[in-house]
Amino acid sequence: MSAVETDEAPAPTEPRPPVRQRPRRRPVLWASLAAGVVLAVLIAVFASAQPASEVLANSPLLGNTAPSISGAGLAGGHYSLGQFRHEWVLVNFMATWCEPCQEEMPQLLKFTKQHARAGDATVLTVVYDPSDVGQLKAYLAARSARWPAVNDPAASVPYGVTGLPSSFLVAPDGIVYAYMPGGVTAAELDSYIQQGAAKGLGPA
Amino acid sequence: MVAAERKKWLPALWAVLAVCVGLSLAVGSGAIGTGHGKPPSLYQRTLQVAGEYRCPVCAGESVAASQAPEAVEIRQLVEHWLQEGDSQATIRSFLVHDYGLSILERPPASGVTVLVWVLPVVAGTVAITGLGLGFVRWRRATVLGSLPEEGVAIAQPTAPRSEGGARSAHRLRQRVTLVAGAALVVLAGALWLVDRSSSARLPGATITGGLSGVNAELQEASAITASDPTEALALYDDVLSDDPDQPVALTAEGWIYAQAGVVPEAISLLGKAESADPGYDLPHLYRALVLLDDQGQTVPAARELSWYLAHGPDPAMVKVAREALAQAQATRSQGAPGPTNKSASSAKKLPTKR
Amino acid sequence: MNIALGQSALLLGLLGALAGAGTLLFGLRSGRRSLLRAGQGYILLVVLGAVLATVAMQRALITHDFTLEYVDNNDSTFTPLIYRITAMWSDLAGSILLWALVLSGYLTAMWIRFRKRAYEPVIVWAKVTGYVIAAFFFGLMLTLSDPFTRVHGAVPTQGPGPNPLLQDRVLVAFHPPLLYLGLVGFTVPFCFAVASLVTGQVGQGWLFETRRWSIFAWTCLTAGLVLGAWWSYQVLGWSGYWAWDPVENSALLPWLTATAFLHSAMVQQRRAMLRVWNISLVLATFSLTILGTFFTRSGVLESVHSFTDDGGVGPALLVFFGLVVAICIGLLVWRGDQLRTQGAIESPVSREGAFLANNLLFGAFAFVVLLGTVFPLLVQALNGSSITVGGPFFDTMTMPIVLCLLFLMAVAPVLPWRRASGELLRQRLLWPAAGAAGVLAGCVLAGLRGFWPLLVFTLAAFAGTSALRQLVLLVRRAGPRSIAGRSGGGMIVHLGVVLVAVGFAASHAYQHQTLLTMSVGRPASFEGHTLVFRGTKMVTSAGRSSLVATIDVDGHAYYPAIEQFALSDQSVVSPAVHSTPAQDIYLALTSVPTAADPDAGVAVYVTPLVMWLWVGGLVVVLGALLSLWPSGRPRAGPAEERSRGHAGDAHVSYGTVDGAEQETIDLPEPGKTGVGAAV
Repeated sequence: MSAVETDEAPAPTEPRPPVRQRPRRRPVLWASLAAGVVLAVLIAVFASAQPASEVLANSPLLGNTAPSISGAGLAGGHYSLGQFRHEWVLVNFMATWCEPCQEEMPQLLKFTKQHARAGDATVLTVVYDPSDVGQLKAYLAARSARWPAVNDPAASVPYGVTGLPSSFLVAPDGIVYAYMPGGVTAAELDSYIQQGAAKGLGPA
Repeated sequence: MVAAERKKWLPALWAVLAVCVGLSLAVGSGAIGTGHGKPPSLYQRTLQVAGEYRCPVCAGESVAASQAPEAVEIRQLVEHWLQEGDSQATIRSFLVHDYGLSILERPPASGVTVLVWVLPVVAGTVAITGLGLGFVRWRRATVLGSLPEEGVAIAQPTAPRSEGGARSAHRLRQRVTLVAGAALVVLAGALWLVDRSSSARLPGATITGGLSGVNAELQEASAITASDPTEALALYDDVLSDDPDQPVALTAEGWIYAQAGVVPEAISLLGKAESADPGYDLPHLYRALVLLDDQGQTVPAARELSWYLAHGPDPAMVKVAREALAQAQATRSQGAPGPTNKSASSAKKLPTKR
Repeated sequence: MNIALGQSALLLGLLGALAGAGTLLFGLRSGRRSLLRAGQGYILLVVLGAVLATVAMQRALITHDFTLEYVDNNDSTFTPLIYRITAMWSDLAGSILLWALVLSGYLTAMWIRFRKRAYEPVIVWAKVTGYVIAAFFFGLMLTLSDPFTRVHGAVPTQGPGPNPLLQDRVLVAFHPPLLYLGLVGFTVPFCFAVASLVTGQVGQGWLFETRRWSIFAWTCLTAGLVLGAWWSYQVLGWSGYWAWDPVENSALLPWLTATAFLHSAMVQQRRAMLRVWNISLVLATFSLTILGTFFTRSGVLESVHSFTDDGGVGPALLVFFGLVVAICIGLLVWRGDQLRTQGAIESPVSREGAFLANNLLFGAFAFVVLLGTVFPLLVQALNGSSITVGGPFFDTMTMPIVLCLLFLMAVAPVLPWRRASGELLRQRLLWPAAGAAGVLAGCVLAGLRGFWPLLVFTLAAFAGTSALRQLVLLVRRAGPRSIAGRSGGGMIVHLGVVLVAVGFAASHAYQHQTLLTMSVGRPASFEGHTLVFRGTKMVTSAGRSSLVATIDVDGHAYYPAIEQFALSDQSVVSPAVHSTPAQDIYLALTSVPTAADPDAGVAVYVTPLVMWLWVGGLVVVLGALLSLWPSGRPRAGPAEERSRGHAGDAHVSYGTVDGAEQETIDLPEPGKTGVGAAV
């Protein structure tokens, strides 16, 4: 039932048919080469692409006024971003179910401890997930995190949060100075503050 | 017999069917709905609008579909804005302002991203043209009898015929030139399209990307304007050295100078921005504020502000503009030079909207 | 023990593949038949290796052997048995094992099928290609993505279990295997295509050999895609089934080129034309499956469905893709122009013209999907900005293509080969047009509005009536048994596609949704249905605890729930769906009642004709299986047609059947090759 090929190689030992004279017009050749070029470009693009989760978006907020945040404090009281105009504020969106947020916590503790005396910088934790309020409160209390934590999940929208944790360093004049997605270190924060101080953005 | 009769009626039957289809489609066109007459509810409209935006924290879901906390927040905001009567374009500008262009599910048709809309159309046109040309060639060949009617492998000539060879070589050259020319034209057209729509200003004052790195420079400069105006000025100067008519850079420089108190420079830059891009609204606003603040020229200021308010202002700045206009008109009616208006001049370029 | 068994099995598979390829190549060079036979037998080593490795993995999963890192990441003592078995393909390393298993199975089947022709160069080269591909996957598992790595340090006693979304339905046991049967199945036609290009035997032989393989793979892929859509619908909570997600697109792309191939292969059978198209489509289909595995496993595109890549599998797959593409392009450059025939499609209004247009439309479809999927990467590389190309883009751009395809589906089956007159078309398309007009009028009278959905319904009715007409003619001519066979099966597939198109359009255009805040006992009404919230209860079962709400819809109880899985922070919304042929009522809990707020938030979606999607998919699969049925009718090849003359095509009186309607199913009898088979 084989489909008979009328051009089988004449000699059984020759694995390839005799070379034919090429036809003059060769559209398949040109089309294939063109396709090859396009594919080569595509492969180069894929090879140089970073994993999607690591692509850091630039925040549109940099250099602009930090959007306002206000809400009930987790440990009582009421907080708003405007209260902290005289110092550097690290606006930190987090949730207890986010592992990198938990990994970042020791750095935040270190940072606040270092600046506690000078009183020139603080952390403001913002609750990201409304259903996480109770757990976050307990979590912060368990770690003796004494900085303010505010229940304002709606703030994630004007801040353009695209993942957790997301931190925004707000200068004393209310402008967003730095954007650090994916976890901060105390050293990084200190260097930003020093840079800012050199430009005259010290606490008023 | 029957067949012949049927044949007679055929054209009439087809005409009836065509009329029926045409009429039905005409009647049936209109807002998509099942005809119960109810307008879509607020929730439905919210979901419809929300479906145009990507959930910022999810992997590939739209805001309408996702149950992530932030998506829920955005849906609530959209519902609120729809209730307040904001248009879809306004909502778009708010969200793009907060998240950048990547929140749009439909890529904006400007800058390099216009290619994603244009390339399929180009490819389709090329394909249809190729098909058409192929059919023409085939038709001619079969009619002339030079091609067998059955698929045959290309007959292998033993040696190329000399006179035929020269002619077909010439034809080959012609064809290659034609194709190469067409490809160049298409490429040039695409590049022109991309360049023309690059560095366009979108709602929310974000600038689309182009083939050059202007976008990145402008963003960087904008980011450091507040903290380091001198450095920002240098960056804007860089941009202007490549493109002296870049309206965004001119406007930003004008505003920096205005804040620094160098008013004549500010006014001249803003004026240049206005003439470079008459459709750009920000220079008008800034120029009005400067005129009002430092020179007390209420009449031209009021004119600029009216123009600004009439030409689709940035919703976040509407309040500021209205206040300034009201003040200008009040001052004018009082007949005294306008006092400085701290609130207007301390307004930053991109206030947020909650 | 499992680790040792697994790793040695993988090694066995790799060595078998390498030995097989080497032996065959050596045999070709030296011409020794014993080598050729032996080389093909090595496939048994490969399949043995794959099976043993699978056994080792399954054993480890079922017995909770936490010494394996893979088991540690994907299994837990709470997981029910079925999900332990399916955990083998829940994660990256195991999924490659499944791929290798399916591939070895196909290669073994290939060996068995072609045992009697073991010495033909085409078969040998096809096997060589198969061995090389198998060697790649086994090598990948041994180096970069080893499912049998040992856990570091102390052996844990518990693991997190598979992803909660993958433990919700038993569908996880069917969807990935079917998908892999489909995607991997296209390896066989690819091997034959490469072999025929390498040996220069580019006639119709390879096409006939692998037609049934291609249809089978296509059927499995279709079934896998439809099941995937159904699964998304049942689980994801937003009443959607296709999100144009990059991983979904990766599986759709080979389906598109494969569909084009299955159609245009008929032109090659009939008139020995479009050979370059067919070979290119087969090569493209396989390349796209490899590209798809790259997208799914490399993480360059964000997706709900992608595996996380820790081990550099992405770059390896990309390199493999590059090699495959280079070989394909190289072969086409070398031999492609010898493929071309000098036949002409003299009239665009003919069956060949329709199939050519079909190729272009599917090509355009694939182009749009591929462009949209990779465009964010291109823009990122070009100027660093990040943009999204989401569902709305694909919906807008593919809609005109789908409309054209529906139109073609209606017209092509009535077109005769070679050329058609307008009169012929007017006669044959009368009933389909009447059907379309009738359906449209009915929809408009029933109150449906909206230009695009109505247009889809009209064209779908056009195509559906045309397919029904073909079936009726077929049965009239050759009895009901003729439905089994290529022509009948094909028309049933078209009917299925029509159902899917209608379901898609209706469910997108006419969905109604709302968010209800329901208090216990108080009825709410929506779209003519009455809903009453009866209360919630906690249900705990092995490995999960669910908060189940009871909601009465028109008197029947439904149970949307929110499920929390042990050892995972993720909670999963488990919707309740009430499906009828007319509409689906879909309930998803959005906010649970608490002590402070006893009201439940329920999202209600009322969507028409969703069931038509699943039924349509089933019809497509059935039709494809029917088309695999061998039919005893002799094939009317080009020689036969020529001897009959063209009278049958040129004039038709209404109601008679001409050559175009005749079956051409089977392989040609030996000797009846006609001119067209010449190379």
